[in-house]
Amino acid sequence: MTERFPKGDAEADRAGASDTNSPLLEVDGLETHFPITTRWLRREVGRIRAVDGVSFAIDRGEAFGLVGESGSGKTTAAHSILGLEEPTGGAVRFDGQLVDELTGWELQQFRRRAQLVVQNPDDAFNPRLPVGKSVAEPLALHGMDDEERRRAIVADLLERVGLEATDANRFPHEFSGGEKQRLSIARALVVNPDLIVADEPTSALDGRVKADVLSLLDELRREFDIAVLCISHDIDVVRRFCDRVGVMYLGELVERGETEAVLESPAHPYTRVLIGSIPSLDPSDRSLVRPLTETVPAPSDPPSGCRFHPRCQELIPPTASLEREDWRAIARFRFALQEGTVPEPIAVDSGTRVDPETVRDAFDLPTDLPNEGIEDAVEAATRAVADGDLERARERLAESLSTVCERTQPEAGDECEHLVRCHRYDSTIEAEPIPWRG
Amino acid sequence: MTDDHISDERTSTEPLLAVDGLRVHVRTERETIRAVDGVSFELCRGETVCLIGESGSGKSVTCESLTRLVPEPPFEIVGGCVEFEGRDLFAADTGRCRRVRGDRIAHVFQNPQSALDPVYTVGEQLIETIEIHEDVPKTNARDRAIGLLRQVGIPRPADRIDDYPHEFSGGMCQRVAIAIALTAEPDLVVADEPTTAVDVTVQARLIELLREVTDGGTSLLVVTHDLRVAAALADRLLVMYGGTIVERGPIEELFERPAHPYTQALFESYAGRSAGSDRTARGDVPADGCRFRSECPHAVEACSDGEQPPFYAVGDDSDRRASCVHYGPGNDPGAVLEAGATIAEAEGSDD
Ligand code: SF4
Ligand code: SF4
Repeated sequence: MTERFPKGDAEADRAGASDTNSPLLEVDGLETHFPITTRWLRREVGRIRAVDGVSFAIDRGEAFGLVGESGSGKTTAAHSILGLEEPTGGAVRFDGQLVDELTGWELQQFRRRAQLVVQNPDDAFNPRLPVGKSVAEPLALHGMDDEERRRAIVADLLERVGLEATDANRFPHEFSGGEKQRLSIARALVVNPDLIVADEPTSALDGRVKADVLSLLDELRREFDIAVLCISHDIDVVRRFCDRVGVMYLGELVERGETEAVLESPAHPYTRVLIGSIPSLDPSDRSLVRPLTETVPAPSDPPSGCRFHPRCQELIPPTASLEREDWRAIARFRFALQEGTVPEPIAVDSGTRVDPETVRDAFDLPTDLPNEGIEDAVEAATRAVADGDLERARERLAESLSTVCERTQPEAGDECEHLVRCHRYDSTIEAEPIPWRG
Repeated sequence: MTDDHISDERTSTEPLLAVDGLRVHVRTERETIRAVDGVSFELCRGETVCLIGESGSGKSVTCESLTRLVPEPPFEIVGGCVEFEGRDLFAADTGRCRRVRGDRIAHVFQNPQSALDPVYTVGEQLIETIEIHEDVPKTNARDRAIGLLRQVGIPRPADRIDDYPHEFSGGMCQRVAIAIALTAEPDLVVADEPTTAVDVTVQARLIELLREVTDGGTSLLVVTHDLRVAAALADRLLVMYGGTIVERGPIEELFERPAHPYTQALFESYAGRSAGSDRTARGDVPADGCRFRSECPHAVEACSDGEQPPFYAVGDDSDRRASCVHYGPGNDPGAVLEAGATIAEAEGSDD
């Protein structure tokens, strides 16, 4: 590339003076809650805890992936970092400076240095404008008045992203999806950013086009030493592209570490479900991991303690005397009743009565448990379900099966090399980590 | 393009579906695009076949043409025939085609919203479908609708039956769409990217649900761009590129050693970090010869001759076919096959 957007003097100064060991982006306890208000008085009746205490840092030139499923809060987190959404708590530092304290020229610099690339490039381009104009737009916005220079920079960049300089005169509809995503990458690059926030950058693409766009992004970030925050639900994208990764569940970061460590030997039970749900490329291995229960709780009413507990296969038992499989069956029984998913043939909703044995069979409940309290509770709950009284069954189980996982919020565990928020990795709690695929 | 497609399938049982030389064009103001350009395949009872390809390969148009679901115009089925249990679906009067389409062949789409009407409850939609297919009293239809919802894994179906589609999550909507597809107990379900719009944990459950459907004896034709989904579901794979099928074979052999250079390129896009492609962004598919030749690392002069190469057997494996000159008589496919094995290995170690 012959020419790029010039760095400002003050910035060059600061770059010389600033502590290069400090990360480019530091996100510390980020919190973005949305109030749920009544229609009339706009009284707050609840909060959607979209992002609830997320921390990570990204070094210059590093690619960090934020993965999670819909409702995990990963996109809200990205938007909050860029100031497109107002955080309700925590701190975001860019180059050591608090982003929400930036004003005037400094704020402008932040907006130039941190660029967003969105999933659907159609949103980023005006259909009536030649793409060259759209790509050049950020330049004009950041004060480059010389149209000739703008044109030269754009021509250069278009070639750099695998298009042709003459493409600048064409209109968005003349480009394929992959080409459009190349254009939006060019548009982000045109102002010489230090950070690109890529929100599902390849989700609208497939196969080789997707791989090509990813490779391009990877090349560019290495060439220009740009840090990338990559938001994705696609583990393959993160595996290929990111140095480190954070896994989000219901607004919280549950695991964070080197990509290889997190994806090849996931520690957190939720990460394990996520990885285990991806079909293998080996057709002879068709196993798919299942969480304890299916329903993802609402972020407005997250479960107590560990937010993953009603779905966790590794839930810590109230007493060590239970066999793992027995405990899993009992816990599944409890949380299935809680979420209201009752297997056939106990169609409670249709009012059919069944006998307790049928209930036991349907849930594969163990008999002769070593712990009398638990045995009694399961017995009583089974009878309650047979009578069609789900509420009584739920209460009875909640009373006797209380686990540390629902009582206490897990902190970062000390029994893992990287960050894992799960009691099993906390040496003060009497439960050991279960080996992956163990 | 090929005449030996019927003999190269397993002929032990009569196929449920036989597609022969299907050609579909799209006419736009400026040009005519050969979206499907001579596609032939068969599908047996109880079998799951995956049609895999990238956007624009013609895989969806192929599937929607089977039951003439493609809008004509701009699409036009210009050639070929589709037989269902030996009956020609195109020659038959449209009424019969419609009946087969509704009763025996059911479609499931990527976006379940397209199958569900937002202004009616899922119960109303299911009951309506049930009543179209069988003569049952209303209350029985409702019970059957609840049964279907339970079968596809909707929790508390009797409570949920009166909910509207928007009250269901994406994954649950897709289950409802599958329930609607199953009402007439079809012999064949054609699912076009059925799990593409959902999260992986939801996808895993939908894959299990589709497996249950086929366990019940229903055949499944899955259209997908995702090798992982294919690996999870298919007995056999059809790889589509530029409107034609370029490779076909049993899933395990094909994944172990992709034979066609295009299939290999597709696998490569799944391999390790940064495949480092220097392919140009704009690859045009040639109109004759091998459609893949402008991108093919193994292309030779013969690749531009005539039409898309016929299917040649891959190695000694009688079930595998690749439409590539290197597998033709007198040629040594060793180098191409070796490339496939290397790619599959790299991708496997990454998994
Ligand atoms: S804290 Fe308990 S519930 Fe949460 S992930 Fe760990 S074991 Fe599972
Ligand atoms: S026929 Fe030629 S161009 Fe086509 S895949 Fe084979 S080698 Fe490549």
